[in-house]
Amino acid sequence: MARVSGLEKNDAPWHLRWFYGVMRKMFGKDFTPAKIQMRLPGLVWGGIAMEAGLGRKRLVSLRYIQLGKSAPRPGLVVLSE
Amino acid sequence: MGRKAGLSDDKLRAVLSDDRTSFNDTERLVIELADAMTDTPANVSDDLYARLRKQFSEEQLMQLGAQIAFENYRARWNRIFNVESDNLSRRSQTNRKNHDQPECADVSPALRRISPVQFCNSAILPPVPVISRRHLR
Repeated sequence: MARVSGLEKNDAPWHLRWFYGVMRKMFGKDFTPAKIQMRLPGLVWGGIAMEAGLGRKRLVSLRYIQLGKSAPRPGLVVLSE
Repeated sequence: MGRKAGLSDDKLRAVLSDDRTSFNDTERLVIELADAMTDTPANVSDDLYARLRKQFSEEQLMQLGAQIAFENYRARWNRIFNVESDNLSRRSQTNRKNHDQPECADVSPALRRISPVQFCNSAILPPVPVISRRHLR
């Protein structure tokens, strides 16, 4: 159980409510860490900016990137649907 | 997401094991880099860097390193609040059924910094413990 609670869509800052739709479309549910980060909108925007910046002009095959992201997290992404 | 990137289930599972025969040389290098960056203290040796440079340009390494580092940031951040699995994976659901005897129970909690059950149940995207595969051997 997480030590803190996250924000539901209706409680989230208006400028980040669209993100719930993205999450639900991608994963079929709201992500706990993202809901927690909604309490500090800068964190969410920072993450979005980082992902967007790195994904904008991909220099490395997505295959290697996903592999690199999987390796530090044993048993995870890896087996997600 | 790994599947969408062209990684087979076997390869994704093999990331957890010592058996790297299913990976090609470049994939093995990427895993080695991720291990080195995830370790505490993080240390990428000259030898590893030299081998990486044979496969990737400096700009490519910057991008790859940033992605791995950002994944580490997320995984470590989740530890503060003890964020657990959202059960997005089949493995996670299986592990919950075997809640009493996690398959990774033989790994020292001191190395994992979390309990075996928590570790095994964290088989999904963000709520994941930061741990180097080296510690699992």
